[in-house]
Amino acid sequence: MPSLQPEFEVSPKTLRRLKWATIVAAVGFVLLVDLVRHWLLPYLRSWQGRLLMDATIFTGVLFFFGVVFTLIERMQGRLERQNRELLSLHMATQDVHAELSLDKVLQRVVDQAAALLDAQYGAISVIDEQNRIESFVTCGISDELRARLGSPPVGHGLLGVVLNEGQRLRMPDLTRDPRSHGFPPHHPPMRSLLAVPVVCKGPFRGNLYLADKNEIPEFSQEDEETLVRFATTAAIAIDNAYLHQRLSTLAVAEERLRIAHEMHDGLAQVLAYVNTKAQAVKEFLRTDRPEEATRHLDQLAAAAREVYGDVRESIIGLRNASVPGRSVGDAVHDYVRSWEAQHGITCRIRVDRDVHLSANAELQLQRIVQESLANVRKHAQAKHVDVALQQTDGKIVATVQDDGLGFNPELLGRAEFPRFGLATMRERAESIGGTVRLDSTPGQGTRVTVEIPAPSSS
Amino acid sequence: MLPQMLKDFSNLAAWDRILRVLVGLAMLYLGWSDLVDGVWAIALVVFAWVPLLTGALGWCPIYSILGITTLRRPGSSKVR
Repeated sequence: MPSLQPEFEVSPKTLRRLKWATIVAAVGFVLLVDLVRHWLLPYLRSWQGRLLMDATIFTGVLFFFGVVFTLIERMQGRLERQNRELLSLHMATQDVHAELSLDKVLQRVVDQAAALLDAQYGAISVIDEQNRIESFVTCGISDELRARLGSPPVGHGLLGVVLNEGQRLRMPDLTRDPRSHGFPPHHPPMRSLLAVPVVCKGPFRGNLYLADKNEIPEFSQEDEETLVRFATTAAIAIDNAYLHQRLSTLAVAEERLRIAHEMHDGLAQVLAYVNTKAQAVKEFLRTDRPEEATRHLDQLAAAAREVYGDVRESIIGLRNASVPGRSVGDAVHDYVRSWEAQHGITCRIRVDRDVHLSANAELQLQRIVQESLANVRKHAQAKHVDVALQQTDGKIVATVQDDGLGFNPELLGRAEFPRFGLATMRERAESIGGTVRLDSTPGQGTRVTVEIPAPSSS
Repeated sequence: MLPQMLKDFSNLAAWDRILRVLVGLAMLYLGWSDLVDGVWAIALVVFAWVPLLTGALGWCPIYSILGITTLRRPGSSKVR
């Protein structure tokens, strides 16, 4: 992080010299007063002589306080300027960091940089690991003109110096630089240039350019330092946007994988079962065994109903997938209401709608609740279900309790666990630092309890 | 360092500085010549150094205290 550069730095050596200069000036002033008094000795009794003596002392005092006040004024001005710059930098950074879309972040970076340093034109180019221009975003140039200019610059000339060599550039007239390749047709004329590299930690490298400082012929050293500081924070915003983009892509990929697994474990298994049963029914009909065929057709219908229920639940689950700004409480509430309407099992919902979690934790918690309700539908023969989601003592606790058949968990064979999806539920809970507990008694229903740590409020 | 500080502190335009040096030289000349004598001659010699010094430095303490400048500064980098 570049440090703030003072406008002029007072080194200890200079300070020592200034102190000595003060002593010499004071001694010189005393000598001058003495000399004047010596000259004025014959006139000291007259008013002219006294006036001249007083005027000499007054002039000395005036010089002394003039220097003191000028120094104070300069230091105050410098502090005010630095405060203004820090405030502007802070506001620009806040604005840039408020955005998560990479293209919008780049646009805000270039807009804020141009506003910060009062430049007419601004541009940011971002290149990837293969040195290809990933994005080239401008400000100060209309869309119409941008279209007439054609494809973005490829990095010849002065842009290449910044792009490939990572150098800062500051010049009053870029057209006079020998490295300049000139402008393409329709390009607006530009003179003063300030360009700094934007060093990101991600796969991108960027360069921020400003051209034509308003009202003043060129950018100052101070402008350059300001832009370097801004570029450092802009790089963090660009990295942040890139990671967010990656996260969204990964979340989509993960969801696709989950759907693929569900299709494989559910739909594909049932379709294979349907195929086998259909072959069996065909065989029974061929051998004139209609009772056997009817029994297998009933099993087929039951399997079809079950997979229909699974598919419907998956559709509700996908519709209730986390939406930015909506709490997990809202998502669970909406899902349970849809599920209730779907299967005709009465649900009592006690959900704290202010519970907010990370996107991944929300997804996992929703899936556990969905899996628990799927178990109720498939195995419990319940009439009522209680679904609760509440935040207490730094924990978020979700429970799904039914009044169905229940079972003895100790007698549940390990092989049967996958049928209830309990292993998957445990994996999901553990992936977000939580636990799942299953309590059931034959004839008294089943309760699934999920506990996960609440996110810290900071 | 000091030249930079003087440049930063400067509040006199070139014409103002030239005028002050000329006035200072004129005061010195009058003070040393026979045109003025007595206490006024001493006053001219003593105070001739004020315009000479301020003209040479490009900085006037009265201007500084009153916030006056005859210098047209190029705008520094205004940060909005």
